Amino acid sequence: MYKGKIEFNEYDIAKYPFTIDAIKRLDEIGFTLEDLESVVGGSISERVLERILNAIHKRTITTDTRYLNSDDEIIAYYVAIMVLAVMRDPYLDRVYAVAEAKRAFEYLLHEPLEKIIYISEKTFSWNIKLFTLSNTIYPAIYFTHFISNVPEQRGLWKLANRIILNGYVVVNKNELCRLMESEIKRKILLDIENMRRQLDLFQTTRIIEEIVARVRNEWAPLKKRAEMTISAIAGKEHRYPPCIRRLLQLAREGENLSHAARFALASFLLSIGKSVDDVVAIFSTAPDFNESIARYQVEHIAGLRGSRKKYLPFKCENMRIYGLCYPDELCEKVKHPLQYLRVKVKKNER
Amino acid sequence: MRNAERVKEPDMIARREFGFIYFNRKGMERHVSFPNRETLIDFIRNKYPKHAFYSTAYYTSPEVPTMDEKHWIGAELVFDIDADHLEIDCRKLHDYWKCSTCGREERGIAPSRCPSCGSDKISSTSWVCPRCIDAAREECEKVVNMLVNDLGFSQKDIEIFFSGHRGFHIHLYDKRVYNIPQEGRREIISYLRGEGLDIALLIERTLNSSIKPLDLNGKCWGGRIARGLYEVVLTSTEDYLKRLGATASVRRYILTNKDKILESIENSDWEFLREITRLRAGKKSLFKIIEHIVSKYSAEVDERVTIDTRRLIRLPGTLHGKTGLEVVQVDIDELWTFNPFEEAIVLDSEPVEVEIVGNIPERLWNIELGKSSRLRVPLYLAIYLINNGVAKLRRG
Repeated sequence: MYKGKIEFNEYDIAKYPFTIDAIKRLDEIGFTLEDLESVVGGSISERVLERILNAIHKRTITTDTRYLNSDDEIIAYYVAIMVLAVMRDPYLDRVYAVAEAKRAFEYLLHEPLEKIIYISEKTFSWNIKLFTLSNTIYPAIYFTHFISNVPEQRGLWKLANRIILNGYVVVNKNELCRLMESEIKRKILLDIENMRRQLDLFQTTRIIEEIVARVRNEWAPLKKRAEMTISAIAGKEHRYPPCIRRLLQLAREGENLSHAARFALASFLLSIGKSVDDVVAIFSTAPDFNESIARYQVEHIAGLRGSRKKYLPFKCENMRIYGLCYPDELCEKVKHPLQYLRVKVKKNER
Repeated sequence: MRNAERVKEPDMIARREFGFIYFNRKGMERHVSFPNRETLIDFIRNKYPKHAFYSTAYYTSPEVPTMDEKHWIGAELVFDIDADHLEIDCRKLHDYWKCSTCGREERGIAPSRCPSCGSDKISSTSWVCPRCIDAAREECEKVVNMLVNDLGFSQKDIEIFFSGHRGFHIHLYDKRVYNIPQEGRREIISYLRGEGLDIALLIERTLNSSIKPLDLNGKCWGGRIARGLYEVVLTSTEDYLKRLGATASVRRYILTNKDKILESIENSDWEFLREITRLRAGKKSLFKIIEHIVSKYSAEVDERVTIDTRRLIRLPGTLHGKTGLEVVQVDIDELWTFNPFEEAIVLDSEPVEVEIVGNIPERLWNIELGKSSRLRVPLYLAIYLINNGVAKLRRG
């Protein structure tokens, strides 16, 4: 709709280094890995490291305005992608992609609608239409983009609760940005994956190896701690219903779980007697983990806060509606994930 | 029409996996692929399979035995409507089950456990009748309506096939759906069923938001519920509202303000909903009425078929090995006049004699069978009975 009609300047390219416009600019600059060895290269390398370490420690990427008017920023983005490609750690890939996507989301919120639509159409090939409803213009996105990018399948993120016009889901600006965040995260993971496939085509340089070593130093202890806590807790995991096993597996891989998924996992583990500490530890692998928020929420589910009501896990029907049900044969006999555990134990005793 | 001409191969045939089940051996032969229609027809001619299937997915290498190495490119969006999954009365009349542990046998839908001995070893026979087909037609129509009206697909990209047994397959060929991942397909099923539809949210947004989901002309769930509410009020009687679960005060409110409410709905004025929620148990009554509307419009499809993007589905133009009926295309406009017991029968109708060795319904495919243990029936029906293990061909 806005293709080619909008100004997308160097600031925009620095803010959104994953866009088609940014790639075009990168070609124009004609950057090579050897350039990293120069004086300018030094500050770019620092920025690469800052980007990745920000993602690891702050779970988002802060931007010093110094960089905003600079080609260095897009170069730094692509070198960071290269560093991650070399590291071959899918868990770190996700941490980074989530942080980059979150950074983009924060910027998008402040953009005019036209620019958001421009990026979504040009870089992601989304189909977007504008509709005037009650004298206000609303964007509407083709439903396949909507269902592929909702952060969770509840409430207003459920297609059945939306106004749909001929296949186009009416959204507000905030929702549009949130849907883009998911798409951006996927794009960044794809960028890393594509880079990884080309790795044998070029020689990594001393500088890249140095950055890799420094990232590894900071990342390894964090990763190890998270992995250990999860395996310690899982214990009798083979008895858990497949939906919960899947969520544990995703948590272990550092996948960013939806609110409903986290609730399902936390309430299940609390119900079978795991401690608040144990459950909080499970979420420590989440790409956007914040211990105090996580603790507050887990305590809430455990009934230690707020209404003092202990929450039960979702029943199977709701798990299905929220897109969290991945049944096996035994599931036909149960209507609630907790029931599965009992049936399984009984079956094993027999 | 010659038999070979009936077979309707999928588009991009070389990108599809085929699977076959045979008369004389167990299991399915999978990972078969054909460069073109001619090789497919030759294969069917030479190996005369009992069932023939193709993948709704497109693969780079469909013939490779492991799923990962096939390289999935995309998949059609398909919906399977099967009377087996619908709760319909006729099944009590013609379906039949037997417990292999204690021997109890009965007409009706097979229970998961035997009510006498608790065993789960239950064998069942299910039959297809015109009422099963009607129930499936109804769901089929709902799905097509939602695909066209709500999701904006073009009718020309949708094809319906009689499944050869108790239902229909709907295939959607629009390129925009080929890449929808499994979770997305699950959400489409959810939409068709009206699952996760949040009634509180719907009412709240209709009353307090500038764009109102409830809309008499709307082409999504908000539209259906708005029209459903209009219909409920229009046809409301004390009895009807009571059956829907409305409390006395809500019934009184609707019945005394009938005309006013109808006029409000026509003018997109939903304030009366606020008034109803303020009545005694008003919110609860309103929820029950809307739940009734949702269940009336929701479409029941077998979710596994839609969600599984690597699934094999029956090849149109071939016969269903259990019934001998053809998987035949049904024109959308002729959905309600299509008669599978005429139009899907391709086998000979020359009468043959069979001996009944199992439990059969009294009437099958518009033919009275009666209770005799020896029957003279058309060949196509004999094949259906024999395939279900309840009859044997009498020779000579």
